[in-house]
Amino acid sequence: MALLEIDDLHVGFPAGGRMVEVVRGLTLRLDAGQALGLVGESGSGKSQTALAVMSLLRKPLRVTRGSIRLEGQELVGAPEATLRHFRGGAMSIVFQDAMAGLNPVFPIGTQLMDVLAAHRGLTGRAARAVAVEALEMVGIREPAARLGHYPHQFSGGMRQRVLIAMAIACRPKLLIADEPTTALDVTVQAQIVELLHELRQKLGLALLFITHNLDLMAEICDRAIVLYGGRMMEEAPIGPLFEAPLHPYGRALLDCVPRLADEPGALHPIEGAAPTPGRLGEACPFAPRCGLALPRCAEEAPPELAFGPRRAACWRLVP
Amino acid sequence: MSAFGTLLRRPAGAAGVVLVLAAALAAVFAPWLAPYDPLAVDLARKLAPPSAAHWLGTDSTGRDVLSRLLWGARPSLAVGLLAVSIGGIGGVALGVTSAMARGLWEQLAMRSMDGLAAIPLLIWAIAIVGIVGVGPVRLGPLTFPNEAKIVLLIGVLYMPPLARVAYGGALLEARADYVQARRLQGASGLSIMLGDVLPNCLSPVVVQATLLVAVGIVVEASLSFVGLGVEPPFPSWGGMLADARRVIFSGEWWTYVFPGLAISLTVIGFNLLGDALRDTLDPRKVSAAGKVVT
Amino acid sequence: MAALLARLFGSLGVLVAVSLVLFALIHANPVSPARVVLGNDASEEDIAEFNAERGLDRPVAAQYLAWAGAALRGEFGRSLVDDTAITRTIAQTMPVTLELVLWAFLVALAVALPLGIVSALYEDRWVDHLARALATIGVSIPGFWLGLMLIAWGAVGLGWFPAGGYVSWEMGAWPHLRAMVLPALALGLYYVAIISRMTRSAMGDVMLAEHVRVSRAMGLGRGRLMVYTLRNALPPVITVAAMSFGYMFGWALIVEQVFTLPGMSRALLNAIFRRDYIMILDIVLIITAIFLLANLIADALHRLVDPRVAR
Repeated sequence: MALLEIDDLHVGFPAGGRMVEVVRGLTLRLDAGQALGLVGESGSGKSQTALAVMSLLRKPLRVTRGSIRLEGQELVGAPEATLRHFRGGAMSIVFQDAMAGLNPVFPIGTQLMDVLAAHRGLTGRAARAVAVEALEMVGIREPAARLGHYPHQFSGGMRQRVLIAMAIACRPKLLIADEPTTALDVTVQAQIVELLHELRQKLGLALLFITHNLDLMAEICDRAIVLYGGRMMEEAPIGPLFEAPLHPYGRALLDCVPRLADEPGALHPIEGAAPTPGRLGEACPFAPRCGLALPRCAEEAPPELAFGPRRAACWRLVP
Repeated sequence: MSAFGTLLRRPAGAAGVVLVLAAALAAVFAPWLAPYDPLAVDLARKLAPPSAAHWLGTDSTGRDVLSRLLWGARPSLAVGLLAVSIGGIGGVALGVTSAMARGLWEQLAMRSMDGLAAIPLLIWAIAIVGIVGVGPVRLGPLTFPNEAKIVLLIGVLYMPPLARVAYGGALLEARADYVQARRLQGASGLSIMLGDVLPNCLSPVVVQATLLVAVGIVVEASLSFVGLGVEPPFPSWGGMLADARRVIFSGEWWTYVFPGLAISLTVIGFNLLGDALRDTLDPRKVSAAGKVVT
Repeated sequence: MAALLARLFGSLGVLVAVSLVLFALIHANPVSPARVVLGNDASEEDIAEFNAERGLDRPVAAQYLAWAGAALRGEFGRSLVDDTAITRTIAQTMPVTLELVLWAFLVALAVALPLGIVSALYEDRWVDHLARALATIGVSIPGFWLGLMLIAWGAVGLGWFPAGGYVSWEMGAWPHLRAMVLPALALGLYYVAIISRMTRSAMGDVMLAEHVRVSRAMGLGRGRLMVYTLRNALPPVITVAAMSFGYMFGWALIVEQVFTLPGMSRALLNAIFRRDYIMILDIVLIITAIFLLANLIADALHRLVDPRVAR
């Protein structure tokens, strides 16, 4: 049994009498200690998937179909008390907006120790010790002295470290990182990715890393799922994915990343615009922008095909 | 769809429009709508309950309550609207020029607005009328009623919130890319101010001004109630309630229920209209910057 | 601290400025106090004597300085009309007004805070709609009319409360408090609306904040989440509440008239109708000072509860 199992996940919101779906039939497995990347442009449904796992979807968004299981325990439709027990406990999340992620009117120590109190029943000196340890682990210097500091006394990168400390304080088995570096300076980005990598090895975390940045993902993940228009396009180990993507969208995405070998000024953007949720019929969402599209692509969603450890959904791959 | 159409489609907005319109119609057409002379005393018919002859009854000197209510809309709306006009013109001028000119003028204007904002409205309205005295104001050949003092004072004290809202909006506009582009094209500061910045920062001012009309009406009614506003025997809603205070023990409910309803419904109207305007005209909620408590 | 001191000096500046304005207005008035007090048939000599007695023949600047110096020592001068010490009049009337405002303030907070919180927690549910409708009506009903309606209902109709007047503590706590119930409600309702609205919108903003989502993602319990949210929503609510306290003194004057309470409004209105300028000046300045003080306290409290504002 995998640590995280998602089957046929649909996330949507009602609009004008019907459901607009932003995640459509996503299935994935994540084993303990593994790192899986979810890549896609904005609107691909990657962040909604993360929020669905945490059961933190904001109204009117909700899971309309499918199943999410953590260690075999169903999370979709689970009572709030169960979810509260899992959140910050067995599964945890780090968000993009580190600047606004900490409560501005409480010292970070209080916020950290409140998480410890909620899940590990730690209070007083014991909680303090664990909080200091957690801050140390994420590379905050003089952690004991900083417990009493307020968030505004930290830089953006430091706040993200504190948020990561909160997320790992109760030793989760699964850590979701939802674009954790997007709002940070480029130099800080690398440090945070490095930190996540380190923590994963030290604590044996499974990591669900959500990003639109292929290079960052390649640094930290073993495997990646490429999402487009709420659907899985392709799933593959990092090496094969970068060397030979199976799906035309995967190929197009890789072509967008500038390489040193490229002649100066050569950029290869994907023509056309990302799809609007709700405008998608049953077709392959990438069909309108795909150079290799067949007539069939615009009519019917392709089946998911397995190729050893890889999966892809494209009519071109159907024998 | 036009902003007004959107406004009318919300129940609260539509209710606001109806209430404000009703008060305005009463004020404008009072001479034609009122069935009786609002000043006509008829001691034989004093404190008569509502009847076919007097729909809303008569007061303690036999005057027709409905007629006085209709006429009483005039000072209420006049004070509210005129004070807001003074505050709006002054405040917008200061706010927009401050945002455009910056520097010393900005400091001077906005600091003095802060100072004015530190003055509590109602007590100062009482003070001014108290010191200058209750009575008409003569300026050369013109005679203004006692309320003119209140209008002037409220108008001046309305400047800070409206200036702040205009200033906030104008700052946003002045920094906007299209204004920068106009500058680069060589447009003069004045034409940018009047042609681009001013029209684009007025929406939140209108929202705020609508809400302030409501405040002005309550202040006028309160002052008339304590005898510092509209001078008797001229009809005003606050004054009618002051008269009714004397008969409150004998149960002539129509004397104090209807004038109070008139004030409250008109004020609710302006508040609903202001809130609805905020939702349609001012999605950035700039007008919240000039939030007024009294 | 420096910012707070700056605010304090700013407030003192405003106070001096408004006292100058009031003084100037009084002296620009064509009708002299002597003429008002002594009447139209008073001779020029009488008037000169009146003015000399009260120092009104000195230059305006000298009069202002004399008045201001005395006021700083808590000596507010003597009534122009009946020569009583104004300080004594104020000492007699202020406690009544202060008590009325305090009760109204407590009523407003006690109703508004829970109402605003519940309204934010159950956004768009019936409680919320009810609370919002109440707030819109509350800000639209003038306190003096509400007072009249309360008299008609609670005093004349039910007979539970006196229709007006002041009952001193010596007559017993219950009779005293009973006489304050209706005035406090009449004055308080408007601020129930103002404060509950602010509470609701502050709570609403905080509930959408990223850090609340993080707290939820960390699995914090309902109680802790509530504390986190409330503590963040507090600063704007405190500001509005403290400012409301200052504004209440203005409206208290009107409500006192409705309930014939012997507070500062009676002193002020008497002074106005008798043209007792110094009395008007003093009362208006005292209320303005209270108002400025309330604003200062709002500012200080804001700094206290919000660590982001530099101390």
